Amino acid sequence: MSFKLHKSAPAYFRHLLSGGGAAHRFDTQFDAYYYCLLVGLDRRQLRPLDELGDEFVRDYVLEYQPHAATIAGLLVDAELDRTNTGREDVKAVEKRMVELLEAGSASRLSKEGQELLNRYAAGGFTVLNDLLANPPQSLEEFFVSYHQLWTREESVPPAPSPATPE
Amino acid sequence: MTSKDKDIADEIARAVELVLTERRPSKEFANRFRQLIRNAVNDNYADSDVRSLIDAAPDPYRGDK
Amino acid sequence: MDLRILGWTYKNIRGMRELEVTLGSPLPRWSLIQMPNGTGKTTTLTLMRMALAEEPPTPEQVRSFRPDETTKGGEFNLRLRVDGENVWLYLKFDYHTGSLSRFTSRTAQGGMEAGLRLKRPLQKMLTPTFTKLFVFDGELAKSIRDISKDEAAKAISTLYRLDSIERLERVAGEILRRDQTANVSTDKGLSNLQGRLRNALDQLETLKSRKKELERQRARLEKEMAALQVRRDERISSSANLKQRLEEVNAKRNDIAKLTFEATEKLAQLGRNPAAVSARLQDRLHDLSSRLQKLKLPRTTSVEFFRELALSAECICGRSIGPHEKETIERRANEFLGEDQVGVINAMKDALRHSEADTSAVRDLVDTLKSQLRARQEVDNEYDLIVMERHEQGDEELDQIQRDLTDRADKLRQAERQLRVLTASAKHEQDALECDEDNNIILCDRHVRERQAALSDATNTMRLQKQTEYVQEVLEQVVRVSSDQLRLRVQRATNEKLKTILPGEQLRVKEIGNSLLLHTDTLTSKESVSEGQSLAVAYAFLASLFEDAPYNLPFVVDSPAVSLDSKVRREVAELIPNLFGQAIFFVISSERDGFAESFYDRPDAKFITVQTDRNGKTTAQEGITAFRSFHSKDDESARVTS
Repeated sequence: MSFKLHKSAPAYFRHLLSGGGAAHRFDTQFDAYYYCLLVGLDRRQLRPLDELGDEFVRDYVLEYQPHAATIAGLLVDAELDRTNTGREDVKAVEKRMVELLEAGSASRLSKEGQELLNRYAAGGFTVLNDLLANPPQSLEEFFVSYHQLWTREESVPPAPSPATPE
Repeated sequence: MTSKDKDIADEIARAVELVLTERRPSKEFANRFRQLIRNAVNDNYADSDVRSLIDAAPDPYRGDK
Repeated sequence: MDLRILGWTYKNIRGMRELEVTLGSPLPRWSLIQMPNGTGKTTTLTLMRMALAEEPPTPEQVRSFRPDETTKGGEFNLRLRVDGENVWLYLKFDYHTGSLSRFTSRTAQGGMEAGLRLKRPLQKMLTPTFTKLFVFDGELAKSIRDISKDEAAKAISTLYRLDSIERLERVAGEILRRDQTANVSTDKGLSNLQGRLRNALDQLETLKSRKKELERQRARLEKEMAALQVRRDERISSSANLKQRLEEVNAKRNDIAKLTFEATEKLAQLGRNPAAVSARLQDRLHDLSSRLQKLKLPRTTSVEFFRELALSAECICGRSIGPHEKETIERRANEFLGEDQVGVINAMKDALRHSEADTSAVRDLVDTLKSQLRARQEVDNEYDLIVMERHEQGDEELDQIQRDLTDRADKLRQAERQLRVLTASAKHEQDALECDEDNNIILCDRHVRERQAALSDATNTMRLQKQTEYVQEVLEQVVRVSSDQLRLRVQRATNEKLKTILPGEQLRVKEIGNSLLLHTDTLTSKESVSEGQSLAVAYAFLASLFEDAPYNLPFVVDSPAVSLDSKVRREVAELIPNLFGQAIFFVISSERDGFAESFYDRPDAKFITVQTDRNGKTTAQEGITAFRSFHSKDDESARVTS
């Protein structure tokens, strides 16, 4: 499928990736991708293609495969919102879903869907980069700050989706 | 080809063999060379024939002489 | 290729106002044109050469054909047959401006085209120099005897198609110019590139060694720091009450580390399900699910259903499906999804329905981590406090250990920073750390590959160059050897003919060198050879030159035998019929003896006499009678003096 991180992400997560100094680290780069992705999808943040790095893995890593359908669902949700697809417009919703999803694919996503997924992950990265004070030094510190982002937000209703340029 | 033409072709062919014997290039070069000369005399060759011949010439960077 | 002259016409060319000379049909092999000196023999030959080759005349030359001051323009037309096709060449002179316009008329094309338009191979061959080899003015003998090696070689090259092999040399040169990619074209340039590649490779090796060294250093420093920490604890423990506290702190620290690790592991595991990460994400998923439900998506009727329906004769409602209905159904069917697309949406709905997770578990773990991190901070503070207390008690060794630890920590930071510079792979990091090919392994490696590519390019170019030069050398050698062989052949053929023409004399061509070198038993330098002998040699040579060439050209000469004595004249006249396919001789009356008369019996000879009457009108008369009886005063005086 081709998963790509934001260009600057490997440097930012340096300590948590292999070769870094921290004792407890991410298992794979996919972890970094995943955490960025959730933030990006939630906030409907897309970054342009030229901010993406090279493919770091082809398919879903084993541990995340069971959640592929859920992630695809979150993508559909984000996209319908971002493109302002009318809640009542059956044909438009159906059309967009068909554009994003693909029957035979392990990730449930079409090429377009995968591309958008990568761009959302990049978007989430820029949010983390802005909101978290420093590049995370250890996994435990990262988890604490990361999950605090979510709980902090939960008390506030989600902001209306920004009009992100394609 | 008239017999005049044939005589000339023979002369040229003789010259070709003389030169090839002296220089001893690869078999591929020799064959291409003979063919190219035959065609050139009849104005019937293409630039790519010449290029193929050049490519078959000895490569000084591979140790051919 | 066959070239024949059929005839020519003058209009307002010097003394010839209007004159047509036609050699006739069938075309005679021999045409003897009797023209007194001064009537335009030389002019005719000059005009013929001018018509055949493309050298533009000077205004003076053009005006030299002017009959008088008032005549504005003149014309010369040369009629040819080329490989069976009639080709007429026109020269139109404007005496006023001193300019020449050319036209060509070919039966195949019809109409007149501007310029000289012969078939390409023929037109290329007919250079001004080359036409002089078969259209001669009176200097035949001289020009042949003085023929340089280069001119002979060039004539042979053209006639025997060696020039097409020479052209290959040029083509090879063009290919080299076109295909060479690098600017390097010398061995020195190539070795420069090799040197630079070696430097880059050396630098890469250096950087890689440095990386290894730094990694060793880091490991050593970490080990030393661990050892120092142990020693520090020992020093602290040397104070009894502090020892107790230290042990407690260390135990706590271990517990914290263990709990932190476990909680982090668990959190990572649970967090993989997005629904567990945040309630809001769960809400979004549920929202989407109900939306799809509300919209009754996916629409379960698929496009396949409608396409099949369109093929039936009758709808399920009972009405018949005609062509109009069929077309409408097929068109609108495309608004529905395919079966597999329906399946995809269903699968999504299913997943959404089952996306439940307990966010409270995640929240609890996060709380645990938070408190453990706090605890860790407290434990670290406690430790620092213990160290400070011990320090205040005054312990040289402890102080030293502290200093060593600080020192090692600095060195470790430095080493790590240097490693970062060496190994940074992301561009923005490389920019931030000011990495370049001298200090960064990734960039150095790229640099090495660039140098390798440049070297490869240059090597390819050098290779191409050397190979092209080889090919050009071989071609040049073939041309040279062929040329030598053919020259030798012509020489032998010439000498064979000379045996027949001049049997008594041992006059032979020794070498076609810088000129036609002759050699006899008694005479060795060309100065001592008589004009007649020279002429004989010239004919023999020309004939030998042309007889094997794949072109049949006409031979046009002025005063072919005037300086030969009668006996030689006869010999030459006997020989000539075998030498040329078509010959046109311009003779004066004094050449009739011995030369012209030997043609009288030939059926394939034509005789034309050109004369100007008292009124200035020039005519051409055919036939042996007129030819034989013609006299002119000039010719008489020539006979007396020869």
